[in-house]
Amino acid sequence: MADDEIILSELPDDELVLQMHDDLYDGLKEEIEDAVNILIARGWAPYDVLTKALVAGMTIVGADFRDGILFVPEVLLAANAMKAGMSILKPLLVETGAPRMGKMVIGTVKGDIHDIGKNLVAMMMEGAGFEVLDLGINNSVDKYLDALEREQPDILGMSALLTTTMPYMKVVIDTMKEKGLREDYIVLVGGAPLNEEFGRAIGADAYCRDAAVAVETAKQFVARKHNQLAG
Amino acid sequence: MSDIGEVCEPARARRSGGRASRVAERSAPLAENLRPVRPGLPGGQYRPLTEAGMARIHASALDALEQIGLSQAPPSGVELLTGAGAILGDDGRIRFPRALVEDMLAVAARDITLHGRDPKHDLHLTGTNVHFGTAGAAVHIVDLERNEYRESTAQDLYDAARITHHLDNVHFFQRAMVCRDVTDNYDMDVNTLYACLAGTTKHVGTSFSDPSHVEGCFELLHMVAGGELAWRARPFVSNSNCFVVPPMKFAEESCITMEKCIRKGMPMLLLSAGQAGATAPAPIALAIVQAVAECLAGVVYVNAIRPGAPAIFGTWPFVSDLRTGAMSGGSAEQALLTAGCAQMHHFYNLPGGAASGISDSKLPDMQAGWEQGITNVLAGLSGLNMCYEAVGMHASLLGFCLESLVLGDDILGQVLRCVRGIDVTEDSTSIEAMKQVCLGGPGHYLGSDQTLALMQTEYIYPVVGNRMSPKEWAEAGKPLLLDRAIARKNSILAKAGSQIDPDIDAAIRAAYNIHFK
Repeated sequence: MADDEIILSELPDDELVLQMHDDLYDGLKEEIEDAVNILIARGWAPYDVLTKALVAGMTIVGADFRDGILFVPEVLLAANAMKAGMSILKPLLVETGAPRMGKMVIGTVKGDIHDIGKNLVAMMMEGAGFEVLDLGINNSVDKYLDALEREQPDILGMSALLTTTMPYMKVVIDTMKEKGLREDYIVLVGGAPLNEEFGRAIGADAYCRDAAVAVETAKQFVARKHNQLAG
Repeated sequence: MSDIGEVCEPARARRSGGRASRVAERSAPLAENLRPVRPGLPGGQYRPLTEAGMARIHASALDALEQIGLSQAPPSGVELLTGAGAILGDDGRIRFPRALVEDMLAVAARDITLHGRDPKHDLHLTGTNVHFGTAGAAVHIVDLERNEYRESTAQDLYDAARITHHLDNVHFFQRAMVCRDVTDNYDMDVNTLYACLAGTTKHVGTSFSDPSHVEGCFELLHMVAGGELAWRARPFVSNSNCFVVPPMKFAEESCITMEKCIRKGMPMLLLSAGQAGATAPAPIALAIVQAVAECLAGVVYVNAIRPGAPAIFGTWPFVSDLRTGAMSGGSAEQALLTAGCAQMHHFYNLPGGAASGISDSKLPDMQAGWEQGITNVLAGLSGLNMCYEAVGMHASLLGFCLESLVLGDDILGQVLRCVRGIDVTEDSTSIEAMKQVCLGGPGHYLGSDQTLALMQTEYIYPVVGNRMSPKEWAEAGKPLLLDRAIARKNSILAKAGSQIDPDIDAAIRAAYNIHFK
């Protein structure tokens, strides 16, 4: 295809960013790495590269996944390309003190070993520029609380597939309340048997129906939190 | 291990055009090379008859032809058949010595191609290759939007043909409805033929209500083909011909039509449509015997007219519901009859067809779903070359439903996927992908190269069928299957135009009384 003739370094900034959106969409890891390096070399702020090129590109990917145009494996390919770009930006973002997209600790609750949905959320969140620590499956209250203390994330994500394990989410949230930690974190919950009502009843900030919704919800809550801090 | 890993590292992926090209790709039909199913997939995995069982059915069919024979051949048929070696008895029945049947089986056409007007729709009837299509003829159309049966029209038939043209899993279009708004029988035959041809370039099947109509209809066919020679080179219409009226009687006028059509180069569907328990014997095996015997008589007849003339061995036994005597097409017994017939086609190595996919239900509901699903999947798995009545047919052939035609395309996609079976290759059984995932990998296969490569070629996705979670479904306004089918039908009809060149269409409409727009 003629597209292969594109030489990224010869594109003006605006065209390069649009090309990055397409390359993310196509899951082209090396092209994304090249383009990130080119923008940095042109003097772009790392935060601008993150938001205008990578996050904006993944937003398109997320929208087309939601609309049934992209398949899951294609979204994961795009998320991998995004992660490759992120790993170049990460040290630079720390150096420049740029605001972070946000950080999430995520895990499936105790007694539950189902993790494919949780994995999808973790990957989509990473794809959207969040830093994600995945605790895996079968997590006790202590494991969640240890991770919160150690990682200081913005978001705690909990998942359950079984009706028998989903009440454990309330146990975690109640313990957070007892320890006065609940208000320090955004708590998002998900899993097939849950619904919005359940999320509200156990004191979560939101129930997220699927990975795409989780990303959008996380972005909104983090932005709100930033605004509150700014205000 | 790392060495192998590096050697196998995929080449740098090529740009594929980003969002614009993917959106275009996903909104268009899947590229032919990616489709998980295609017309003519080989079946044959399901074999309800043993080799010994088939031999017994064959022997009984020969006995029936020799001892019982068939009555009511037209004078031309008597002349042809006795000329070939059949014996006309004092009782008026024509009996077939087994040597005659065997001789005619030896010269009968095999591995035939039923042409589409577009060669990409050609059907190669060989071995256990499976094709699905419509047949008829229903006298009503099921109007889902009004929830009623009304008399079917030429326009309805044209609409069904246009929809079929756009459904990947419906491979041919045999006239599915009677044009009841056309009261003159000659005009009806003309409209039936032309509605099918105008709607689709897939292979068409039609019938003629009187032998005297054949001539005029062939003139129309030659106009569409671009002359008689072009027609004879690629005959794209077959004659669905009920040449027998079971049990063991020829249908005189149909036989005369058959003689005319064969001489004009039209492939013949030799159709024997008995009803087990009524016009065919009650044992499933003996119903197959009778259908086989009748169609063997047809093979003798066809090859006496022209040796090697293309014909489809159309054993179509149906079922009688013995509580009422009514015809039934959607039962397990129907599935067995059809699969057994397919095996007999393979026994003779003849191109064959039978009925599958008929629903007795009046509407496209769950009853229709199981009836169509079970009968079609077993027909496909039996390796039936031509599965007639496979979509859209309700009320035991009395009603055709356009929405059901659309839904049937989804059923047939799943059916064809079953027919395709499991690809067992070095790649598909290599544990390399498992190693990459399990040993230090992500622990799942969603993002693996193999999944990406196979997500469309290994799996077929329903177009109308709904796989949403209950939550998504609720958010989407709880869409009903039939509403989605109505929407797809309307969207196809909005874009599906006539498949006839405008000049030819104008000439045909000037010469014939065409009732649809």
